[in-house]
Amino acid sequence: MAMLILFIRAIILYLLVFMVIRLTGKRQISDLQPFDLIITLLVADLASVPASDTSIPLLYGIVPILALFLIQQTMALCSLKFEGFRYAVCGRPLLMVSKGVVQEQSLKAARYTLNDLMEQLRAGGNFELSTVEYAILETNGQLSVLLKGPSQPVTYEALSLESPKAQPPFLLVQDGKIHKEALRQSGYDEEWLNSRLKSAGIKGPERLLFAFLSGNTLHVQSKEKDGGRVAFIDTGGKND
Amino acid sequence: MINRSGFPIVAAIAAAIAVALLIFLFTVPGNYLRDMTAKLRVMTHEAEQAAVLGDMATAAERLDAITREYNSRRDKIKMFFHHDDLDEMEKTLITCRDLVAMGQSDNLICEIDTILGILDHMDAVETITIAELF
Repeated sequence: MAMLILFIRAIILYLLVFMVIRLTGKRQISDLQPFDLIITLLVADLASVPASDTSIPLLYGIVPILALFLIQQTMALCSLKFEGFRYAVCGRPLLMVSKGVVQEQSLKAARYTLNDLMEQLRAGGNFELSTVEYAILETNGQLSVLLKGPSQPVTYEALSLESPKAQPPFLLVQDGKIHKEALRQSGYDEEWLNSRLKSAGIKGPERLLFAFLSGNTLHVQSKEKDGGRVAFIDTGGKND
Repeated sequence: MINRSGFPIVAAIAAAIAVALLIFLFTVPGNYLRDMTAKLRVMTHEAEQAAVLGDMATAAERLDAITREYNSRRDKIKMFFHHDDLDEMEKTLITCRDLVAMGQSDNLICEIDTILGILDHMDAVETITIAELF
């Protein structure tokens, strides 16, 4: 029974930590501000102690976790409402490269070496410092880069070409189940989907691992047990 | 397409629940514990006086009352008090009953003082002082 108690306590604390982390509203470590990161690290540690020691009441883990959650919510709210507070807590973005010139003062302020700067640039796909016009070190540690004009990707507008319609892809089917809301937002219905799948020799959406509608193309892949076949179906637009 | 998210409301409700729970935990367990220690302290002093006077029958009766009172509250106390301290209380009460049975009043007085020490410790845990914080 002691093992069962440990098991249940671990589940309770896991659920509590999960809810607290989830309620911070961030999905990735890279999105975290410093106070978010502290909370994330502390919460995990606080949960582990009472989870493994049944002589410690569960509340000894729950109360500190709730305290950290409230601190995080308060600081997030204050950061949202008060600019000065946000700068004090999160810091300000630092201009590391300005008009192609590396800012030594910013490097010192950020405790960055040139190697660190180059590493961040390379991680973003920029291997040549000479192509960088501006580089800003954000408060979450990521480096945002604006390339010099000649090095920037060419756009349809620059080439005076007609651009394709900007439209997000819709995940219509996932693991055999139709996402009705996505289907509705795409402007189609199940009858249309079934007819398109049949035209490609697919018996029905239940056989699909996924179906993405991107522009006029339906990108589908059937489940492994149904052959794992990939197909790109031309939908021909709404009039078809 | 606009996705209306209920997330801010959920987070606000969760924060409100957390505040309410913390207010409850800051007040109710402490009051319950202080109530228990106050009652037990009175009974323990009575047991101690009986032991000092050599009246083992009364001492035994008081110790039984202490045990009953403590046992009736133990499960609730366990939720917000370190179990090691509670185990020590239980062991001391068992030892006291054994000493009563053997008629050893001097040792019984020492063990009763231990009970008083445990009760003082329980009260101290519920008191906010700079020393307790650090």
